[in-house]
Amino acid sequence: MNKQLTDITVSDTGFVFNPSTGQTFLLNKTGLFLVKLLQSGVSVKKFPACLEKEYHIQQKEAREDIREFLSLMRDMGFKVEDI
Amino acid sequence: MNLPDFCVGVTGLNMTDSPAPGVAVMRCIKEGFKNRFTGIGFGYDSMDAGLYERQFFKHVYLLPYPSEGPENLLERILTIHKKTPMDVIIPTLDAELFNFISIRKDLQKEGIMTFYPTKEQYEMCAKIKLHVLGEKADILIPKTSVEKELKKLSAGIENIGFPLMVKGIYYDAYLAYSYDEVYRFTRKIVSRWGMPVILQKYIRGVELDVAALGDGEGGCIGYVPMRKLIITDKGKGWAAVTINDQKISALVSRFFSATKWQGPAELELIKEEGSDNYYLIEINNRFPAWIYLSKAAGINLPYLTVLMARGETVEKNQPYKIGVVYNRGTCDLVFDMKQLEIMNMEGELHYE
Repeated sequence: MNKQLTDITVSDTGFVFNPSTGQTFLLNKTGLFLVKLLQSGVSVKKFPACLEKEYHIQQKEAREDIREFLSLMRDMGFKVEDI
Repeated sequence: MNLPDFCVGVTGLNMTDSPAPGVAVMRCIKEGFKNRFTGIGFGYDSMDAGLYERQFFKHVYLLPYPSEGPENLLERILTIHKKTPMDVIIPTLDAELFNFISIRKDLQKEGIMTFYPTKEQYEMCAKIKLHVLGEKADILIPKTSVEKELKKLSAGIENIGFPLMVKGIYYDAYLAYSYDEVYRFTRKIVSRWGMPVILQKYIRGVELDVAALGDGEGGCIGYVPMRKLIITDKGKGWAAVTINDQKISALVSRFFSATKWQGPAELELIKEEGSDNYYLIEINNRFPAWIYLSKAAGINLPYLTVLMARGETVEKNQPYKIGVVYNRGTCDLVFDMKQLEIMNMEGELHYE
């Protein structure tokens, strides 16, 4: 389990607070869904299928968006795998 | 039985865009005592806004400027003490602490208790000696060069490299990218504070700050680390949030263990961008102006300082709440010209 991700506080509104760095940021509905998957320890490889199931997005289309989202998370200092 | 109020004096009452900590310190102490408490404020200029904060102070007095030396300070405090007996005094300004350290025993003889750093600790944390402390406590300090003569400035610049910070011995710090800027900032600093100036490697990263209270035996009574959320053009934190970072915790612990620090301290840190390195930029022998955040986060460090000065037993390593935010606001204090006149002519005001 990624401790960095389990330590952050995520509210249902999408407001995120990282208690170790003091950073705050806002997530949209999809971002919030993905962060909750990361916190639950779901492998990023399964993200396209999860998005398809939840939002009926084609997996091929979802893959690019997920890649971009994970890259943003890395820019913010989170150690997350690439898809 | 009608016991007298417990009386605490606090210095440092200017409330400009780089405010002194005095009013925030007194706000914490007053809320700690709840009742049977009298606050006394000490300013240096009749326009120090905190002198007119009657919600926190019952009596306010002007002190002689630090440059007038410890004897004049003692004489003034003892004169005030006869009129308004004090139990504890807490200095909050860098420039006055040496004088307060010099008169500590005289104050104690008169029944005024204190809890601030020793002369050795004061000297240990001087900007020009920070690297020695860094080695002792295993804390990273940015590469530093202390310049006592203007003619040797260029050698110092070459040693540090750009960009670098140009700092005065007490106050002022400027970021310089060129020789021209270093010389310009040096002239500005020297005209206000004199030599030496300090050249320090600029560390790019996240600005963090810690307010803490040492027990004088190597332990920490409590500390509150924060990340700055808004920084003014003077480099001052204007908003911040309390955080929980294990590396800061370890650093604070090493600091107290190495220095056996007594009293308040502020540790200014930078977490370097792109690395996991934490650099100690500066130590102040006092609480920061944002100290009310400590009270809001559950550790009233100024109030605990008063208890330590009284010789009470205080629990160590007290916890604090994470995610408490402060965002500084300003307000205009309005008062009658008569009060300004009294402050200028008599150097004291009494509110009831």
